[in-house]
Amino acid sequence: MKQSRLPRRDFLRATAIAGGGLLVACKWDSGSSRSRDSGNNPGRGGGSEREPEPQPDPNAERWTPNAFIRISADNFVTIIVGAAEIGQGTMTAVPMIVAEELDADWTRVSWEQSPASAITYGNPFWQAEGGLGDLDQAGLQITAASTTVRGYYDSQRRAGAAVRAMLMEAAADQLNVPVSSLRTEDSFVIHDASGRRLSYGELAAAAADKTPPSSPVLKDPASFKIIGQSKERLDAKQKSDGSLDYGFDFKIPGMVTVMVMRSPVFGAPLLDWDDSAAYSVSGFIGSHRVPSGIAVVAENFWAAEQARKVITANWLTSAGETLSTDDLVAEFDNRNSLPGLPVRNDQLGELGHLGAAQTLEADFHFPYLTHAPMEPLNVTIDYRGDSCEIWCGSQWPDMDQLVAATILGLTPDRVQFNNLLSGGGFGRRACLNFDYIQEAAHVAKAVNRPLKVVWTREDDIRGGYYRPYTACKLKASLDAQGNVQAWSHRVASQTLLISPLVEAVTGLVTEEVQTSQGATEMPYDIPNVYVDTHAVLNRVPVLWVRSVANATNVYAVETFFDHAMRAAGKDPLAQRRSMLQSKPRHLAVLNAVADMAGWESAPAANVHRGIAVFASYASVIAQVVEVEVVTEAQRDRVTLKRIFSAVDCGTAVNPDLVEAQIESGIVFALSTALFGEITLDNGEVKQSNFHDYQVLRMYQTPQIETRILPSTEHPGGVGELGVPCVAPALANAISSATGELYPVLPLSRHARLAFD
Amino acid sequence: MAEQKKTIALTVNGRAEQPVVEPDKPLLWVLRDELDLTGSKYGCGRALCGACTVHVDGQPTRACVTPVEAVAGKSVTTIEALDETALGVRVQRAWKSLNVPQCGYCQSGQIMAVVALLKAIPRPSDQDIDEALSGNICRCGMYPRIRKAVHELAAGGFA
Repeated sequence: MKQSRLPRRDFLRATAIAGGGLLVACKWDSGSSRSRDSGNNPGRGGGSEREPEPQPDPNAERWTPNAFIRISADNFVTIIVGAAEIGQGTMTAVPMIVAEELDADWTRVSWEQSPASAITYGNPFWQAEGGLGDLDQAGLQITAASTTVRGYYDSQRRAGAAVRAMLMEAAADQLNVPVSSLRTEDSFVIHDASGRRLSYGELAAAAADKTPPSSPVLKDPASFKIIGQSKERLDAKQKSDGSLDYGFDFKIPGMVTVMVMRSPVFGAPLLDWDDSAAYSVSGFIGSHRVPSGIAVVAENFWAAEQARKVITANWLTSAGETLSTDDLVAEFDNRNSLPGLPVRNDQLGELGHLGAAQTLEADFHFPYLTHAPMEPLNVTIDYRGDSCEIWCGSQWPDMDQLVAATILGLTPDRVQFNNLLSGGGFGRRACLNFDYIQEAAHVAKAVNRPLKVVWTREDDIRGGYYRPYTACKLKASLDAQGNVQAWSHRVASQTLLISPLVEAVTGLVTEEVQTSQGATEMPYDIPNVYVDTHAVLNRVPVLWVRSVANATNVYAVETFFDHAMRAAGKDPLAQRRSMLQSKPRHLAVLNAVADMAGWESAPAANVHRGIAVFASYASVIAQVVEVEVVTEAQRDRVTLKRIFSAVDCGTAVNPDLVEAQIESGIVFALSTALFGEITLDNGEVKQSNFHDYQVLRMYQTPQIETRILPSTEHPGGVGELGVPCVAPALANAISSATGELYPVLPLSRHARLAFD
Repeated sequence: MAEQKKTIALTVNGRAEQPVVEPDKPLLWVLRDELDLTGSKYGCGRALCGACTVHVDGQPTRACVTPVEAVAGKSVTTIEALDETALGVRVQRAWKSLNVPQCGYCQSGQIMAVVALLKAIPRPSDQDIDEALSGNICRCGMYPRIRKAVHELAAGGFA
């Protein structure tokens, strides 16, 4: 058992709720009155076999915005979760953490999505990182960077433990016995000496009068009964019977549907438009100018889509983006021929290449990519002049609320933001420009009635906020013994943050942490290492996509490492082991995955294996991809066979959901490795839907085996962990057959490669 | 351009319905907007992703490109009625037990496609699964779990 001090913002306050329940809230009182329970709020659910329906009462409502544990008189526990559910299992993992320390009966635990509030529900991970400066010092309520479990783990454990202590105190009073004679199990406090048992529900009202301990006693992980178990997702039922309302499904009375007609090239202003033909479309209501284009208002989706097709518009395309992605190859190579801003310089850095027996160089290119979550973007908004309510699946609800308030001219407390479960996100629902929330707020102002802004799949694919186009220049020098004496990695990327403005205006290159991640962290023991970056500016809107720059930089590092080993005549796994001697977690996953894949045994004829290793998000992964390569005169035919993953993510709160995230990352990564690509021609995006923006399908999915290494360390992130090694391990497997380096993704760009 | 609204008679989840709609309006939007059955999802609008899959006279059908007129007089089954059959209940049980859904948005379509497959081929091979389910995209990548669920269901699991 260890004592754990509650930091200031964790101060708890317990409140009795009508009917004898207990509501535990943060002490912070926002003083707002926006706790209206909409009654049909889809943002709750769970419990194994039943649906507890906590009844709102006036007293409870006053505290709802700050609540995070609710115990009802009939002994159900509801955990109010601050992070967003975009598929990764938040609504199961976070309640598991609280329930463990609370010693709750897991079959009587359910989840509820919290309101938007960084102060109360922000991820403590970001608080430790300093939040977003003056804007938001409380931490951010952003679900990104694989931080949910590792960020909330400690605070949720402490909350569960504190409430458990209060329930035990209440039981001690009631039974007139010392607290030390009591224990807890499955939502009961038990007095073994007398055989008496009191349920948490029975004790809840009395526990509300107790003072939460400032240093609750946490469990020894060896006694965990919930954390570390593979539990069913609490949202699985609603996601298997069609009953979950996603944003796309959510309806409010009197709502109209809006589709926005946007510029055919990014950044072109609207000159004029003609909607006269749209009036023959049944259900068309009208159109309005908004900053992002023309808001086409109709009674429903179908009418809006039909109307938008017949509206004609003139755009000042000459003032918009004119970029053609074909031109980017030369532009980025040119940029990478010049020094960038150094972000890592070990020993001699670039000078370390001097005197080498052999120097290898390659230019890597990675295309724009889009997130394409299954549920296209949508925002339901009810703007009433002096207040506003929004329903939207968001990875960043507190900022979405703030941005909407700003555009509507309302103080943030007048904007109620209801975060819904999202049909996928991959980063798109945490947009640094808050593009779709901004747009919806503008539309609401223009249309002035309850509405839902919907995006079609075409809007989604063509809507920008892509993973940035990136080029890497890699250079490795070998000494006479074939050891790597120097390693250089230069990244040119359209940047996610503001540094390109600085580079454009001042000519000074500036650091961009986001685009060098995975390059800076190159893990191998090499004496001279140099990493530098260029920030490129153009008007194609870019954004983080699952695993961000790790996906591109780790591809360059891990394939170029194998390339160097081929030149040196060395085994890629043996060399990785010998050059990672100081990194035991890397070694452990490498050894585990080699064991799973039978690396030491010779593969069958035409079967080849590739390996890659990567650490981030406080986790480590090694993956082996096994392929069959049949070499013909014109092409190398590749069949994906199996993918093995060994994962060290510290404590796996729910091992089956960790495995699911790794599987998910693999499939996501294969889509990008094999065919993912957004291209532009004179500023126009060429792809539009899943026929030309291909994603992996069932028949293309190989066998996947995942092993989680046992650990009792603090949890690491897993949402993005499965992504970065897949493409390099695949390319390395193909290279093992062909001897070629594949410096361009997607692999379909290499004319000789054909995937069966 | 738009066609005049007509009364279209069809059966949805066993109930006789007579929506008054444009005959070329896709079945998906009739289900979602006229009949308030939102379990069938919009994902692409072009029969490319399968999120809208429903059964028309037992056959898996992409509702997003099927004009409602084409199903006049026919029987439509959606995810909302799945628990009315023993197979549907078993499939839903498998989905929960194997943690098949992640974001879950594609799963109505996946489940309708799986039920149709198991009705047509009670013991499907991997190739049968590839052929029947490759039209259903899952961006969360839960294909291995769906395949596992189908095999376990075919072996009599989740009864």
